[in-house]
This record gives sequence, structure tokens and C-alpha cells, in this order.
Amino acid sequence: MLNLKRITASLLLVAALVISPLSLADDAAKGLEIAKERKARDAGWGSSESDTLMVLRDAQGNESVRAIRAKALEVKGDGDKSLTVFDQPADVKGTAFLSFSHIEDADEQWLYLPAIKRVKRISSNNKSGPFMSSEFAYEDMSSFELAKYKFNYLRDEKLNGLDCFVVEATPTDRFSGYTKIISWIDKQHYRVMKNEFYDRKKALLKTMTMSDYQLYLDKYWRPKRLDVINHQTGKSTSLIVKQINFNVDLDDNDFNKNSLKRVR
Amino acid sequence: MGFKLSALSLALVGCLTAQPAQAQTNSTGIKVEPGLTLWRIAYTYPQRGNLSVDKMMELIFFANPQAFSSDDYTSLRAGSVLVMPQTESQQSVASTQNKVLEPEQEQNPETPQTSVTAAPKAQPPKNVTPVSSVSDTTDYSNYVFPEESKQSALQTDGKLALETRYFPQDAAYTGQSQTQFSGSALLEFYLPWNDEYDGISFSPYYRYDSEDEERTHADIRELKYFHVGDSWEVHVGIDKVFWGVTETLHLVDIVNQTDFVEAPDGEDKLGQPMVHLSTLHDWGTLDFFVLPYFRERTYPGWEGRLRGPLAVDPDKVIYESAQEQKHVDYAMRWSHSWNNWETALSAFKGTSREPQLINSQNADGQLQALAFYPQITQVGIESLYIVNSWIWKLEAIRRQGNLIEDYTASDIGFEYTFYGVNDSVIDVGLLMEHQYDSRGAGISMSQNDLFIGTRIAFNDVDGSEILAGFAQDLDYSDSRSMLLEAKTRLSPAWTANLDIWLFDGKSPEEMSYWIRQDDFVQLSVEYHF
Repeated sequence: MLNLKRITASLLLVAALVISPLSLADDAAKGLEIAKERKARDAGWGSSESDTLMVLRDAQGNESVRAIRAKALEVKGDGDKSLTVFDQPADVKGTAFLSFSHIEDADEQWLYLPAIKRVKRISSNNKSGPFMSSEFAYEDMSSFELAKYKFNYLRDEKLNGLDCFVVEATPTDRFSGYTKIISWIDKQHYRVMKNEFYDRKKALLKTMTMSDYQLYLDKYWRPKRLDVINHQTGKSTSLIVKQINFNVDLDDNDFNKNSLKRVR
Repeated sequence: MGFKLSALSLALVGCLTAQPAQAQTNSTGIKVEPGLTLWRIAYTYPQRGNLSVDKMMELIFFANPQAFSSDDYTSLRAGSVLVMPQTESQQSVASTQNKVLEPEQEQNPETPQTSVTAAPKAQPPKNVTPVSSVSDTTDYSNYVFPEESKQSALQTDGKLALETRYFPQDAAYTGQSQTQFSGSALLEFYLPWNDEYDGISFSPYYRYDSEDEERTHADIRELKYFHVGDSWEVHVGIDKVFWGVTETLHLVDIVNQTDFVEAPDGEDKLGQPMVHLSTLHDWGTLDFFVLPYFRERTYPGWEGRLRGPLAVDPDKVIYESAQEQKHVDYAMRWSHSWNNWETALSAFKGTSREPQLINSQNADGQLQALAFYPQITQVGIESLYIVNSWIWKLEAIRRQGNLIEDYTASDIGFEYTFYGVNDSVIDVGLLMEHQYDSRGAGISMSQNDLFIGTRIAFNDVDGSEILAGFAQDLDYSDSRSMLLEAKTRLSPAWTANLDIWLFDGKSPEEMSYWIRQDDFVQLSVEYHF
């Protein structure tokens, strides 16, 4: 009996060794397919303008509110452009952030400091750094690009009654703060419902949940609410999209240093 | 239903009810494990429904006075058992399935009421670990965005500041005092129309100083009309522009005059009347300036610190040009950025913003300094190269004139940032800049000086930051200056700043000798609205 068990076990092991490279490749291909489909379904949105509240909470539950306005422009064949203006707290009012995401190169980022009217180029190397001291990192705010990750399909799973693909994404950029991101993507609309982020030590860092998805232009799903909780610090951030408009009159000229200086 | 509960928290409810009871004295309460906070209990309480975390905390607090050692949310006693108040949302849990897919619902006027007095029926969370998917469901729908409230109407912002300076050393010159109090107000009015393609802005500024009557002054920082075209824009009126990339010196920045009484770093500027046209091209941005009126630099008076042996006479000013302040100056700048490179070339022709100081005797026989503003031509270059965490910076100028010694000056250096040091969220930047001026130490304080400093961004909710460093004169080993600037937010509207400047200059032939006794500590609080 015992021997038989051992033999079966080693046979299974051999089988696993033979089969797994194939299935691994399959999972990688399927993961990429899902990511491609997700990207494809979101292509063509053009431009948008949004008003957003950011509620920061420390581990004791003290809240701090930030208000931001953002303009975004889809760039064909490259990452998106965005211009974000901070309205709250009052001392940073008028501070603005211009970002050009790129697929291959490092992102370009500028900060406008209204008190001295200075546009300052900043390093985009702070990907893992907190955006406005929130639990969102800069890299969470930049556009989703296939070349930035390696994908791996893990399993199917129901999340909140929705059939989802569970896909693992490994960032290719060595400056990313994550070793992997596990995403729950709903099978019907390819919307990300939940992300789990693992830090450089491969420990679970934070969970982001998207809720209150709305359909725009009959095609594009956007969550009106994103919640991130940092499991290591107990801090959390809610991003509440108050308003978002698509097909706004924006072009390249609205995303340069001059327009950055002009925003109020 | 007027509340939201994320579906995942429902799964949690399921788990909790399914689990066998743990060692808790009260099956309807929560035992407070050491380290557990009231906020976390409220935040993770599955039956919170659409109540805000704050409200939930309040309810738990009032329902459990015995569990708190004082009248304070943070005084929760470990080991006590909390009676959880019932929220009506518990009864409707089942109907919230798939909530995430439904469009946002109207707020039900009959918002679930909470009853603190009712016998607790709540399901006890077993073990209140961080629950990733329990959303705070605070209703933020009443928040009015500044954007919405303005709607092309007048927008008003401002800043009020109170400041005190203390100079620990005895004054070098008679009449100067050791403590200084000051208050300032900056208002900003903004009236856009035509979808912000046109607009007017107006920013008056006033500072009162307890000691120095020259530091008590008013200025119009901005009063302009602007129009934005397709790939051009024009600004007409009093305005402020900044040129430059380096941190310690602003050599190329010549359009606006320095408001020197404000701070020794020279970063505060006076409003400058101008017509400014900016055009965008594939090959860069061109800026043209016509500057029809000259602003004289502000200087501390006899009672003020941070000056030379003689105060500068504000009423008697000498110009090379017979047109004096009405001399029309011109400037232009081309700037462009490629991925990692940014460069700008600039040229200026007109009245020098930097005067030469001439000692003279007034009618009473008293010695004083007079400001003489020569005509100059200046060309400048700015360049920046960014790679990974490095930013390399360069600024250089060549200045010429009939009545000045032609000279070259530069500021070259880098900033390197360590992001998230030691797995924290703190960024630490290292800065180094070398300053050069061909005129030498008798005229320039930065003829051959090395600045080394650090910038620490805490990335905390209060936006705390520290900039500290020192500049060492490489020609005069006993001459150096040190600075520390720290700022943090005290509340959403209030900020506090601490500035410390130390000056060490023992060589009389070197300029910092003038201010060798002027070390100071400055504390200021600012109210923003």
C-alpha cells in the first residue's frame, strides 16, 4: 500500500513536470488574451474630464479630504496624457500635475507650483510613491499598458456573484513597487473588480476594489468609486468620482506646460 | 434602498455567522483585543450599512461608556466587550446583492435610523482583521467642487500669514533690532469666461513689518487679462513669470524684479507690467515679452537686518537710461523638451534687475547707498537631463553692458532622490549645486560656492517637507551659509513654516561679511482660503 502510494506520487510528480510547462504557457497566453481584451474594450474613449474626491484615512480613522479635477487624453499607440489640478486642501490649491505615460520609455511628469509660478520637471521614478499622500501609488494612476506587465491566468472565480477571471500581472518595470498584482476581471465586460497588490517582499500590501461601475458612451465602463486599503499600515483611501464627461473638446494643446500654468 | 454595502462584505457576514462562537463573554458583543481601535471596529463592522465610520464610532462610543477610560475615542480599554448598536441596514442585507452592477440609486429619504437603545441583535464579528472590501460608505454627494461653485463666476482665494523672526546675535549696524514681527495678506481674484479661454486675474499683496518700514509694503502681484488661442496665448497686464531649472540660484530668471525684503533667497518677485505672447510649435515654445515699466528692487531700511553697512535709499535711484522707469525692455525665450531633455535659451535687453550699489552722502551729510540700474543685454541657457532618479541641472548667463563689467555666471548641479527609504513612504533627495560668478567675491555672494543639501518629503497627510543644506565658499574657507526650511499642515486651512538661516562670513572682502551677524529663526503660520 505504502509503496503503491509512493509510486503513484512519483508518477504524478513526473506527470506534473511534463505537463506543467505546457499549462504554464497556456496560462500565460490566456492571461495575455484577457489583458488584451480588457485593453481593447477600453480603446477609443478619446478624452475625458472628471471631478474626484479623495478621502484619506489613517489607521485611527481620521479623515482628510482632497478634491481633484482631471483631464485625460487617449494617445494612439502610446500611454495617455493627463492633467490633474488639486483644489483641496487650500494650501495646495492650484497645484497641478501633468503626466505623459509611455509604453516603452519612462513617463514624463511635471508639477506646477502656483506660488512661484514654476513648472518643475519631476522624476517619474517614484512609481511606488504615494499620490498626494494617499494609498494610491503614482503607478496606480497611470494608464494600463500591456507592455508594462507579464500576465498569467490563474483561475475562474465568482466575485460578488459575478463570474470573473483571476489574472496575475507581474510588472516588467524594475521601479514598480509591486512584485505582482492579482486582478479579478469580470467575464462579461472585462472590468477590473478587484486588485490585490503584493509588495517587493511579496507580501500582500493592499487591496483595491472598484464599485458602482457606470456605462459611458454605450461602451466604456468606469467605476465611480475605488477603495484601497493598505493591509500593512491600516490606512485606506477612497476615490469617489463625482462626475466624469467623455467626448470633451481636448487635444494635445491642452496638455503642455503652458496649459499647466493656466489651470486654476 | 438608500444604503450601499459592498457585496464582498456580505460574504464576510456569511462567514461570520457560520463560524462557531469564540471565547467571548457576550455573544452579541465584540471583545476588544489589545491593539484594536474603535475606528477599526467601526470600519470593519459588517452591519454598518450606509453609516459613516464616524457615525458608527459615535454610536459604539455612546452605547459603551464603560469600555472607555475617558471621554475620548482613543481611550478604548483592551479586554472590554462592546455592545454593538443595531443598525437597520442589517435587516436588508439580502437585497444588496450585485449592488455594484446597479446604477447609483437615489438616496432614500427614509434613511435607516439607528437605535442605540434597542437590544443588541448584531452579529458579532469574530475577529476584526482588516477587511479589504468593506467600503466606507460616507455620503460625499453634498460636497461642492470649487469648479462647480465657480461656473465662470468670480473666484476668490487668499493667504494670510503671521511671521516672527528672531536674530540671536547682536546687530552689526546701529538701529537694527533682534526681533521682528510681520503679517501679510495675499488675495487672488480670478474671473474667467468663454470656457476659460479668456479671463482676468488680480492679486494684491500687502505686508506689515513691526521694525522695518521698508519691509512694510504693498504690491500688485498680478492684474492681467489673458486670452488663449489655438496654439498661442497672450497675457496683458501685471504678471509674474518664472524661468529656470536650478534650486539655489535663479540666474536666468530676469523678467520680474526681486522683492528682496520678503526673504533672503530672492524667490519672491514684484509684479511686472508686460505684454506676453506665447506660441506653440512642434520645435518648442516661443515666448515674447514687452516690458514697458521698470520695478525697483526692494531693500531693507535702516532698521532692517540682512543688509550691508548702508541702507539703500528708496527715493533716490539712478538709471543709465534717460527714460528711467519708462524704458521699454524686451525679452524672449525658446524652450523645448524631448523625453529626458529640457532646454531653454533666453535673451533680454533693457534695464538690469540687479542694481549696482553706490555709496554717497545725502544733503545731511549722512552716508547711504544708492541703487544704480544700468542697461544690459543678457543671454541665458537652461538645461535639464533626467534619468531614473537623477535630475541634472544647468543654468548659465552672459551679461554685458556699457557701464558694467561684462560677466558670466553659472549654477550646475543635480538632485538625486531615494524614493521610499527603508520601505517607508518618505523620499529623501540629495542636492548639490556649484555656483560660479566671474565678477568675484566682492560683488557676488556665489562666485565659487558649493551647495550641498537634502530635501525630505514625508508624504504624510500634512504634506510635511524639510529642505536643509549649506553653501560653502570655496575661495574663503571661513565663509558659508546654512539654511533649513520645514513646513507642515496644521489643519485643512492652516500651515506652519519654520525657517532657519545661518551666515558665517569672517572675511571683510567677501560679501557675506555684511550679514555675518544676521543668523535668524523665522516661524510663520499661514491661513489659506
